[in-house]
Amino acid sequence: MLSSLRINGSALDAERQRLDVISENIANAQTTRTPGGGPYRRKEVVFEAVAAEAAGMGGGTGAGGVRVAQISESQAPLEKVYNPGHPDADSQGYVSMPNVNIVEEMVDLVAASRAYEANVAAVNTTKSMISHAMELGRG
Amino acid sequence: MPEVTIAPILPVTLSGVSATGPASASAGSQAVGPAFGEVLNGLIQQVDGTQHRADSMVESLALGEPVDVHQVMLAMNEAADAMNLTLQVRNKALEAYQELMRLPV
Repeated sequence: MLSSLRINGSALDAERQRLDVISENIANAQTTRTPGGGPYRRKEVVFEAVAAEAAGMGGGTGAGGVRVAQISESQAPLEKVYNPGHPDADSQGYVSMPNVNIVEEMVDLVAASRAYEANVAAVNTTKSMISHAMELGRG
Repeated sequence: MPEVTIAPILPVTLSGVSATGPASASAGSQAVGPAFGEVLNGLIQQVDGTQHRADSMVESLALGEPVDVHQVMLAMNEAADAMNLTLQVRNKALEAYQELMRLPV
């Protein structure tokens, strides 16, 4: 039963990392300069299911939890905005802006928050089950 | 008058128990596994470990280190559950002992 606490704990970790990435996307929605050169590209997380054997749990349903496999940069086309006065404008006066859609990021934010809450609810349920089990035979 | 003989009382032998009592008993318990006291000790060490883990996580959170809040809460819950379970086991063992002591001699 305690393994389910670790499974949901891993999901809470993964959602927290997803939240970090979404926050970075929102913060850098107007960033035209990055250390690697070029404007900021939207980052995405890839979740991966962890095999139960690798997670050290004794089989059963084969559930092992989740982890972030990689944080990849979206290859969607960048938005070109005509702004010849901008320091980063190219020869035609176009500035490449990040391919971050704020509306999409807000929806992802809500999804991550709800997933976090769902995992917290699962942890609380497991905890109350353990408490009830400890009342077996009392009185 | 027919002869009445009383058969001598033969020593009672339990099959499966050899003459070298304690040595064979320990060999038998080792074939089963580690001694109960060691198992109990190991479990209490584990409970202690969960308590220390929870304490150190709370400390690093208070110091502002990048540790997740939910991990701290999970560690604290695990420590509390382990302690609770140990308490229940102790209660049950105590009940069993008291039942035994209540048996009339």
